[in-house]
Amino acid sequence: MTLLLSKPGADVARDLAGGYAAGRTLRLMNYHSTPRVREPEYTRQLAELAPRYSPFRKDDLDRWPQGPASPKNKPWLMPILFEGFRDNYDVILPLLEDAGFTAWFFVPPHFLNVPVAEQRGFAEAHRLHYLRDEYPGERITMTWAEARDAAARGHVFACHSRNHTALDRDTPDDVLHEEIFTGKQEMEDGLGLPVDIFCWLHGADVGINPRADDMLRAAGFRYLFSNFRLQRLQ
Amino acid sequence: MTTNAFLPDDLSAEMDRLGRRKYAEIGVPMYLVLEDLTGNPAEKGSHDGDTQLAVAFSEAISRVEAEKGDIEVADIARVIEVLADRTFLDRPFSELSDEESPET
Repeated sequence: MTLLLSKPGADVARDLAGGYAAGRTLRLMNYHSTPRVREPEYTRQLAELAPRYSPFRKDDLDRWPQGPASPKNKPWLMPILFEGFRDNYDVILPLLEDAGFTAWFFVPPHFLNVPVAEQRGFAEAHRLHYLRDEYPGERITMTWAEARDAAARGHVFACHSRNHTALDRDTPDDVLHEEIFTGKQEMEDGLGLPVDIFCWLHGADVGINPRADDMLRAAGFRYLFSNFRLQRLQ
Repeated sequence: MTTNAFLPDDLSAEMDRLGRRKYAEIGVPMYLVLEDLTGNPAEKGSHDGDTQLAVAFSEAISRVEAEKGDIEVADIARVIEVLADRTFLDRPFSELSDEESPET
């Protein structure tokens, strides 16, 4: 796994400490595949989180930093569901809704358009880790109809690059174009909604590849999620 | 010996322990920093400021740096994981995850 920083590690750490001290802190829960067999575990987690945290909605992000802050004693919590697996929709989304949270789906949109018979191979080839198969012979991704349904219920979708691709300093322009522009179009076609949030595999942030940063802005992305930051681009 | 209630005595061991979890299936708490790159001067946080978190994070980074000589991205990620694990709830969040993968 290649993780990159835009600055020396000590400088990044200093910046992050300053961000925490200033109260620019956002709490996340990161999930990937959420198999049914772990449903009791997710239920326990969300039962303890729900009384302590407020849902973080897209409106909260769009209004930050001018908009209202989270209640002082009940900070925002942002559950992120990575990859677009079917069990995110089937298993954990109802639990998140019962707990009162807004789900944030980070999906590589091309994965949802891969034919069912090829989805497991695609997942293996693109580092989409699917450890146990609870849908033998069936699709393992959520459908676009399910994605549209989740979006209609107030949940949020982000483009996790088109093919679950990591950014490097020398990623060529044609690859950047496909992952950014084609990915955005594919996601918006599937969802029927504009998408303005992007996240690379392995969470590269602004500054690692200025050509990618320029393309993200040109494509209309307003936010970049990275390993340690949520960056407003424009 | 730890000097910060948010940090374990053996930080490296805890970073290693959390790093061995099955990330593909479990819920992992993390902290992010909101950053406005548009030049807006009025950055307002989620609340008044997480001073204790900032202090604990800086101390943990110093300890890792003293031990390893430098700080890499994976170190920062693991430090944040340790802090999030110990601060999201009144008990370590990882206690709510099954260490072993349940049988199907």
